[in-house]
Amino acid sequence: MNPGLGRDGVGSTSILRAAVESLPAMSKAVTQSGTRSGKLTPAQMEARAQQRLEDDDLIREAQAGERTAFDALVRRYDQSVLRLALHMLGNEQDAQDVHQEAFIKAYRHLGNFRFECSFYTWLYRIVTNLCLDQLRRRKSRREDPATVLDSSGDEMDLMANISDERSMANPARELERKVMGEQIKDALDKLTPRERTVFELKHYQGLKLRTIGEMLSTTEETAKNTLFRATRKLREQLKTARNR
Amino acid sequence: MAQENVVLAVYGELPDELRVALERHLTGCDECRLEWTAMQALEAQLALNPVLEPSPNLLAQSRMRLDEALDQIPPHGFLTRLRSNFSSWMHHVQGAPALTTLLLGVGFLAGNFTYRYQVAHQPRQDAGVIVMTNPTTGAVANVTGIVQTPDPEVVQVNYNRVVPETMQGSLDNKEIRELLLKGMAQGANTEVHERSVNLLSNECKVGHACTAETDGKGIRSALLVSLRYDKDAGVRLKALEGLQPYVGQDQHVRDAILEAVSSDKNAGVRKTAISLLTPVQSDSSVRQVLRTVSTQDENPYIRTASFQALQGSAEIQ
Ligand SMILES: [Zn+2]
Repeated sequence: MNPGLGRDGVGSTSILRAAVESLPAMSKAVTQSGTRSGKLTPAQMEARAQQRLEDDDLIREAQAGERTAFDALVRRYDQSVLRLALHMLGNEQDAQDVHQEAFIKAYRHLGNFRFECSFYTWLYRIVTNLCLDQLRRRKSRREDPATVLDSSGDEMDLMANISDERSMANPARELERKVMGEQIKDALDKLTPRERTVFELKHYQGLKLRTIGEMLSTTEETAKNTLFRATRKLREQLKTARNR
Repeated sequence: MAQENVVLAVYGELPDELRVALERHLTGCDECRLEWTAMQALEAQLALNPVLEPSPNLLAQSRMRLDEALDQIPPHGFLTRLRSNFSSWMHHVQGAPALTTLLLGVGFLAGNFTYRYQVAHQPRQDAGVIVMTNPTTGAVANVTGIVQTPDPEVVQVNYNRVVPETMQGSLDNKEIRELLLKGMAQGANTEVHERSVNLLSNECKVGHACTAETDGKGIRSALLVSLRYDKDAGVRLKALEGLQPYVGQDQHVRDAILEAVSSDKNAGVRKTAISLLTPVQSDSSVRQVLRTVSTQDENPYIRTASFQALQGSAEIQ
């Protein structure tokens, strides 16, 4: 499952099951490996192209000083920005700060936007850099990353929130889920900020390595190697978590 | 190396030719097969820490904060100044056409320089320093280019006008429908977009020729696009309503509705989508989706609704 990709994250667990059971199925899974392969359906490509055209129009208007055009751009992307920041930082307050700072930066620098990449890529570059800074700051302060504060300042547990709704179905499984969720967050927090960012953008946001490299001002090759390192570390971490 | 390819394959970053090679390699190499299984296991585990949509409260609050912050930033830069000067000038000009003609006629705006520029470019008699031939035909849409002439005091500004037009006609009228389809594709203007979806969806709902043109330009396919991609749950709901009459006969419609049932972000949309499946609930792919949703949807009402839809179909059979 890849919730970051929304609709197309269907059926990876069934691929897993099939892969464990039979070799042909696994081979099939390699060649078809799925939905996140970045191969878009024609309709999706069309929708994307359309979106890009509309974005470009809005940017031109915003560059000419139309606040309403900029506001429209904000409305188009701010939910994704918030979602990304929330997942990366695990904290509503920080996510909200990144949201605000990112769009203010975008507004100030929009005049420099040259239409060489999509607005989305440009904006995400700003957002990921802000998140990266925040993660670095945290590492140096050695904050306890497991503690999450909601907007009212109360401690809260993101995992607990989703669990509540489902818990009537199967309490034992839910408890297991919740514990696993915590372990995953711990494992993600053990990555370096850069590994964390690359992994987030690839695994959860489904972006291309090339785009990720672009966003982090590095090469596709470096992004690739960082992804390898991140997956390896995570597997190591989560293996011990499972055996605990 | 092959193991790294496994990671790339899982993340859809392996080129097709290498994928086929990897597939072959996997049948013979235990190590890489372990790698493959381990990656799949990692994915399954990580699914327990899903990306959640920010709560509507958080989103609204963030927007308000941002709006306030933006309001405090003064309008910026050279372009802004140019644009606002230009449009206020245009505004004046449009407000007083008679005066304008007079002023332009005597070369008031660029004065002597204009005259010299025009002389320098004799062959083009109307050489366009001042090209405002008819200032009353419509508003300026945008400035498309600024060209410096040999004369440092004279610039040429290219711009497009928007001449608003209006058409009134029956909803069954072809031109009206085409305009509404255009409006539907126009994400930037939310009001136009929503109204178009509403009107066309209603047309379909009441059965006014809502053809499924295969070129992807028909109303039905526009509604499908809205259902799949529109960010606004209300618009997606409206699109669903319009598609309702075709759930039985059009496989594309059925697929899109199933997709909405299993993965639309909005519980209301998912619920409505389930209710639309009633006439086709004996279809095995429909039952499959309902079964999955009835056990896995995060919302208990949705689980119940799809369970009931399944029960209903059991009674039919
Ligand atoms: Zn191997």
